[in-house]
Amino acid sequence: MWIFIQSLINGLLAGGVYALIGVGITIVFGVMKIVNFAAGAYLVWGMYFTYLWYQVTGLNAYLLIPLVAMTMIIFGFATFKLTIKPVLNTGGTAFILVTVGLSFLLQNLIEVFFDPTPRTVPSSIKLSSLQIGSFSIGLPRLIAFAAMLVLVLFVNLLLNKTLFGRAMKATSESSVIARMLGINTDRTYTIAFIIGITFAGLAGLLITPLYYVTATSGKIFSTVPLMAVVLGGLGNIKGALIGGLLVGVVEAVVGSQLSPDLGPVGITLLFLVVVYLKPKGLFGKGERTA
Amino acid sequence: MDRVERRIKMGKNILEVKDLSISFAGIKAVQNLNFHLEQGEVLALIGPNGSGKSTTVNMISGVYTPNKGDIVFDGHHLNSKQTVPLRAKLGIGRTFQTPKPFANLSVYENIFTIALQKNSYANADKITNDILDMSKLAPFKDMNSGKLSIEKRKWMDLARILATEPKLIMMDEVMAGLNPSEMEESFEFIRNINRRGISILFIEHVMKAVTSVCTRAIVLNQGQLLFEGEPKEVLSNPLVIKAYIGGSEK
Amino acid sequence: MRKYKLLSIKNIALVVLVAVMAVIPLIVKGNYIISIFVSCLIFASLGSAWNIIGGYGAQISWCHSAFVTIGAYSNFILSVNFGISPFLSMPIGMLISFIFATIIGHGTFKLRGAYFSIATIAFAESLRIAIQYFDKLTKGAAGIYVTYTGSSFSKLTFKNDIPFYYIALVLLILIVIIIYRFTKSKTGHYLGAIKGNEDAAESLGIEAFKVKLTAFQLSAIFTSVIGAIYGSYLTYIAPSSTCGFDLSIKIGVVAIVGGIGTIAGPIIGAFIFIPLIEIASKLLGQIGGSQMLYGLLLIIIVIFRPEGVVSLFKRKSKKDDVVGETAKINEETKNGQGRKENKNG
Repeated sequence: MWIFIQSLINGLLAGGVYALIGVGITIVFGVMKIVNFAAGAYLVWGMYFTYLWYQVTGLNAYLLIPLVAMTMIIFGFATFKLTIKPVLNTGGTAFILVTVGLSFLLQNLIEVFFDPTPRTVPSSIKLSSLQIGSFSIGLPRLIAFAAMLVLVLFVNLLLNKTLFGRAMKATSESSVIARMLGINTDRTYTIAFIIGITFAGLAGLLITPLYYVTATSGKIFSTVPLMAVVLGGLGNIKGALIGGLLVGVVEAVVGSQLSPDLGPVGITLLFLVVVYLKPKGLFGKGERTA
Repeated sequence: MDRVERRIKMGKNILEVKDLSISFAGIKAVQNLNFHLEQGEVLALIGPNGSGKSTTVNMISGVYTPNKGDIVFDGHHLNSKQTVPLRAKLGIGRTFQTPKPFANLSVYENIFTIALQKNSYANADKITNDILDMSKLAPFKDMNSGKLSIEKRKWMDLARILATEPKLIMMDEVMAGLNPSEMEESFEFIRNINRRGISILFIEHVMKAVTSVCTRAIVLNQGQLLFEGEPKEVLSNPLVIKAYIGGSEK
Repeated sequence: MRKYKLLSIKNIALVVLVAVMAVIPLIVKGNYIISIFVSCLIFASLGSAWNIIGGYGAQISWCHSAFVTIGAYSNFILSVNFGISPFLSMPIGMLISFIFATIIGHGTFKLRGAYFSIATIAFAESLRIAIQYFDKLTKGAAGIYVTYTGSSFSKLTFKNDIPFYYIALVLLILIVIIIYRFTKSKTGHYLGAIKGNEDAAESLGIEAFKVKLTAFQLSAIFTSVIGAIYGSYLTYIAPSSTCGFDLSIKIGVVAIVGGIGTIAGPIIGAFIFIPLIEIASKLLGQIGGSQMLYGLLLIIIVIFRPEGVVSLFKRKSKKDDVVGETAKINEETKNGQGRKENKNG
């Protein structure tokens, strides 16, 4: 029983990272109606940017958040302009191909620029944990979870309380009408995408105490957040959040009860079951228009 | 003006809509709608923008599921088990406000592919050529359908529906964007379709179309049935006029 | 409908092409070049099978490596443990692939958008992990070797690659014929309509779900057969290589770069792309550099030439414009002179 609850806790915290990436994907999808398959790749670049800034400044990862965020913004802007913007208005499957291509490109670009030796960004709290009763809560994971909540809150405020946020919502409802209202939809798309991948990059930063900085670390983060987002309901921030946490929990529980390797298989099964029973996801309102 | 031949089996309605209601996000788009379409009729469905006309068409064709009410088509009760394609196979056809050609296919292939569903290759070919002649699209048969003008696209929409051997066609604002001579040709096309025994539910804003082609009209306002009668009667009815002027203008 | 001309220029050209291909192994010396050809032929087949769902169906699948794996592993497990010929085990691989394709399709084809693609990525990953995990059956991450006990057609083991060349060539020809017949079939036509406009197709009676599912099932079972042969050719299969995302991307890119939704596309794509990767990996090293090429090419093609390399060979449809112009002129004449019968096309 103890194992079960401990893995529940671990899973919830791990799910926080999935949720963070998932919210990023959801924002991009909500505004542009494209699924960013490259989110995991941006996470890996976030890890490497964190490493590079660490080399330059010697600061620990958490202090580097502003610098890494800025780097991600520039990086996101550049990649968006070059690869995604050109195909935004091509309907159909173009975005799937481009973002998957981008994912592959970015992942392998890492192996071109950096040799494959795993690196680490040292963190004094790497092994620290909070004890609550007989359960321990890993500190780095707790911080990551907290950071995720802060960022999600920030995005919520942005969307609901600011003028720009309302512009984003308008664009997501109908880009045609938004344009007629004078909203610069191009800029809205760009910013939505930048927010999305910055979240992914910061997620990368937040996991540096826990994972080696290497290209393969990102692989799991490429597929799981996508499933989490669909599970929760594509286009729905609350859905992405809950989807991420749920997926984290399932992975941890399956991992502890059956085998650590089978975690992702458990997620896939859950994914298939939910998609079959509730195709629009747990909280989805569906994107179908007549 | 032509008097359209009606082939009415006594008392047989091709479509019956009873107490139809649907809400979206708390807003009642259609409330307790009741009407019927007699076999062979051309019934106009008019009303200001937002009165629920397209929503009604979507419910009949199966895109939306009503919250309440009954739709009976050709004796069949339609529920959510009858998906959009299944309803089309039963004989319900509908056009879209913006035509949706299979832009990767030629005009011929657009129609031929649909005709294949109920026919052999040889028959489908014959039927397609028939329809191409009837819809005056024969000169364009090998052209990529994405390159057609708006008017021709609307005709191709209708042509494709004809290939399904429909019993009812719901035409959603077919006249929008056409000039007067294109409209006259469309009237003739529609009358030809009706002469084949196909019932038509005709959603329109263009009043000349309503009076030229339809035998009866019903008026929707804010999701409810406002008035019903002969086209000329309906169009001069003060309530109807008020609904149009009071409601949103096109 | 145009009559089918047996002796058309296109058909003669095809026969010549096949004859040339048949003769190459007799001319070319050295196994290395032959092996490149074999890879090209196999990926041409794989890309063509992918094309059924990815090109003609416009549903982007990233799990075709899984079907290759199912075919290859069915082959190896049964031949290594029970000495069963790959040809006899192929139906098993096909059945398993069919079942998985049906499950995935049932879950996702009622939805639009990226759901299908996401599900395929998840499926392939899960299969890879499952194969690694159930290592008593599959030898896990270490993979399975086929031991060479002498040339045998029924065992699909040979001294050099030349027999595989011919097998792969015949396989490609068969697949191309099957795909050609498929595009002419009713289901093939419906798939084209769905690709053109799914909403309209459904409103006209086409059950998009069933059609897409059929296409995916076909694509899966053909891929499984090719996978069985591919495995024998490689003589070594392992979860990371045979069921990797890389392989799925490679298959998709071959079809997309060559020309998505065309018969010649995947073939041209394979013969351009596979040698390109070979050269790149010699120049840039095995990992990283050459793999990067997949992503880069994919992006470039989608942005600049989405119809693929094949479109460079197609004459731009001037025909459409001519037909349109002629018809317009006829219309105007007709209108100007009142309604008149018009027989010109």
